[in-house]
Amino acid sequence: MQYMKRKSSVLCALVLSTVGLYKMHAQSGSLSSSPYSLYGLGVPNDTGVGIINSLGKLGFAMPSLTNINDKNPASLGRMTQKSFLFDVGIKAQRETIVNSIVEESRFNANFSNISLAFPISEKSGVGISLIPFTNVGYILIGLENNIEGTTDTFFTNVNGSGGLNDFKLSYGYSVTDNFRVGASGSVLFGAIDETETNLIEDTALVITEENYYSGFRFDVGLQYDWSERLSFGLNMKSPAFLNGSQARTIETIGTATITSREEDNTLEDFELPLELGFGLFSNFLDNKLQLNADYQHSFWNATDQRDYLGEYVDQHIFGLGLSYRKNTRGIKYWDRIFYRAGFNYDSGNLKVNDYRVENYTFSAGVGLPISARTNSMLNISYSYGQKGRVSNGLIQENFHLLTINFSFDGKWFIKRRYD
Amino acid sequence: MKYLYSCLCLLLLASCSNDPENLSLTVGEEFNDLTTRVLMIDTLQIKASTFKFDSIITSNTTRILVGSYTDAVFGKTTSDSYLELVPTDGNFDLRDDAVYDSIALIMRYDRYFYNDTIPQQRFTVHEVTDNIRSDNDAFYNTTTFETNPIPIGDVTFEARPTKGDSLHISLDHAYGQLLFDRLEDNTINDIDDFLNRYKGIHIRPDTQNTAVLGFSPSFENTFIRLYYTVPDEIEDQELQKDFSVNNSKLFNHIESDRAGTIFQGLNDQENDAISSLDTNNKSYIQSGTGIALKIEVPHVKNLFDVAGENGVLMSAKLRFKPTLNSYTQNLTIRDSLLMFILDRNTEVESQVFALSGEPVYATMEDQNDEFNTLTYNAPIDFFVQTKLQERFEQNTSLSFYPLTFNSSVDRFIIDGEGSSNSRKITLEITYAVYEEEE
Repeated sequence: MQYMKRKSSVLCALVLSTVGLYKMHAQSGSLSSSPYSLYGLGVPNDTGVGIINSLGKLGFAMPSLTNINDKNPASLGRMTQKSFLFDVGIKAQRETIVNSIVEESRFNANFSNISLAFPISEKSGVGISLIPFTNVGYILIGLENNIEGTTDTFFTNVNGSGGLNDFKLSYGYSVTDNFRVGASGSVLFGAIDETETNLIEDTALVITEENYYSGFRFDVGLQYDWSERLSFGLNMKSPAFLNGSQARTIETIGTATITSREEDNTLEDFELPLELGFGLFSNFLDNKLQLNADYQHSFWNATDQRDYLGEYVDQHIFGLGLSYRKNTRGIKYWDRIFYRAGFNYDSGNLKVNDYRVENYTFSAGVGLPISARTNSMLNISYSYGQKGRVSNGLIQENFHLLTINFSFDGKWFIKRRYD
Repeated sequence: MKYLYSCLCLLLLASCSNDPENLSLTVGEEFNDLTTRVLMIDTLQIKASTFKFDSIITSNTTRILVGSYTDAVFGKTTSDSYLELVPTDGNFDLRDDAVYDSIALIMRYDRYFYNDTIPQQRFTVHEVTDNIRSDNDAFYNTTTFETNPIPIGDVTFEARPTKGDSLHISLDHAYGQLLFDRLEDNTINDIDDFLNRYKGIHIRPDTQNTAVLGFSPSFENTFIRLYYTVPDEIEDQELQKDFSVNNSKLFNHIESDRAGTIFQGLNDQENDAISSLDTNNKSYIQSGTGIALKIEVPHVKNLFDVAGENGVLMSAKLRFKPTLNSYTQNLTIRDSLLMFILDRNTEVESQVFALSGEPVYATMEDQNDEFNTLTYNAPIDFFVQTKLQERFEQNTSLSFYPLTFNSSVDRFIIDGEGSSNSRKITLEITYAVYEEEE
């Protein structure tokens, strides 16, 4: 019976991950629904792996004991032996977008990550993950402009979708019992598509752009345990250049003569800045209460990049998380549930009309144990946040974000005496 | 636990739903870097002129066009028709006891008429003495054949072209008797015997006629009918033998006496064209005689100077108006004109067809003429697009004429580019620029 159960849970995980991957493909048209994704390569994805979504989204000092910590590769040096961690997540977001005139609601749902990690020796572990890096999803319908030389107007619909993905291979190593180092390499790749449809009288001009970007970035980190109760983490992401190329088609519809042009253009490289992160992680009350506090600084100023909309400026992110679990080995199911709360402040890397597009997020979440014997969890997190503001020509986005992560902890190499 | 899984699976599926009902989403408009501009350009120069085809093919027609009228602008226009006849039943036998009665040419109106049908009209019918034949099986509006000047038929009549009637022209008895005898005594046994002696007829109008009339050439509508009788037990039986039109040997000879008209100098298709600026800002079309409108847009590529080359032609609308009072109940105009592209020698290069394969027409925009606003609208996208893509100027131009250009005498007077602003020819080009030139 137990065997059956295990088999069914593995099966279920497979089904879900397949569905997740399928959805990643099917829903690539709506990874985001933010007008801010018009900017740069889209909105940076801040949804992480596993529990972090309800703990302030950073977590440089956190271990990878029962959950994959994707934020610092050094954490892979401290894994539970013979465990096999697997995490797949989905997210759904409902936004209200407000400018000084209108308020609009948008919804999108998507795959958020697929990750796995396992120890390869007593002192080291590896992790592989595929996470969206940026999300593009904007839709503008019915923009009205004048046909020059007349009093007539034409209408434009713009639809942007896609984003970049981060395929990351990480390695962590324990130098001593309380000092770990790690490194990871990321292949960043993806396409951002924009379709602009101009409705001109009873004809249409459709401009389709497929912008491909790719690049490589590496990441180093360390973690140090000051005491049983307190750990520190440090992480550095290298600057990186993303090469861009564009395939553009220009087509007419409904015209007496058909124009169809295809062009290949080279896009300017997009530069990702140096990013430094620092975090601490602490236990209280016999490990019942855990606290993490983190700060990340992204040196966008140094990239000296501008967009038609504004300029890139140094970005500060603060994250704070609190997690409580009454009893790890509790008989009652309720006792084994994690309760989590988090806060995240992101100054944004974007300055529009001299104002930063800031982002505040409050999160609450639970970790529901899937079985009494393993550490497998269903981590559910709800976040409410605000981005931007109504004044100064910005747009305010109020969003409700739900993320669900299946974090499996499979003891693959343990031979059970009783099954 | 299973319950949890199914819940989540449901959630996954539900997350696929999207919100398709937002029809206007403009928040973020100010963030977009839309650069597409749309321009309407109506400043390209247009030149309208009138030219005359050296000849137009009038065979392979579905109309016998006979008549004549005099027009203040176009002068005297005449159409006469040559046609070959063959026995409808293909049979050259008559019973030995048959007795000749009479012979007549019967032609059913096909409802086409031009100008004034109230005065009496007169037609004469002549025997053609030449073989109606040409090297390429085509006959032109300029083609003529020898005929016997003494008519075999002569009729003066009141034309009723729209009533579905037929015109009955009694033919000469001697002509009929001879045809009857030849059939009866087997002088004529087959088609060759017949055509050797009966090469065709020529129907021509009197010079005093005031109208041009159309007749249907199909075998049930137009024929020479030979009436005869055969004795029967109680009384004689009346019979008839029909000779109907051989459609491959039917054409209309259409000409106008241009002496003293503004078309006097139009003798050479390639070289003679009169600018509308020289003809009181008007250009002309006359079906049958081959007078046609030519429109040039000499500097299409100026569009690039105004709007740049990174643009797309969205539409090109040429509009022109029939001159006020140039069309009447009797001098009707058509509500659509076919479009042709002329090469540098004013030869028709091609007719313009849409992508669907349908011909492109200049169509009357508004059929209501209460406010004298009749306007032809011609989508000339193809022409403009072609010229925009030409590496070297090909000096092509456009021509417009009605579908019935080969089988009618319809005439059109079009206001040219020099007319008043509300009347002149216009070209409106909608051009979308998707990238500013650097």
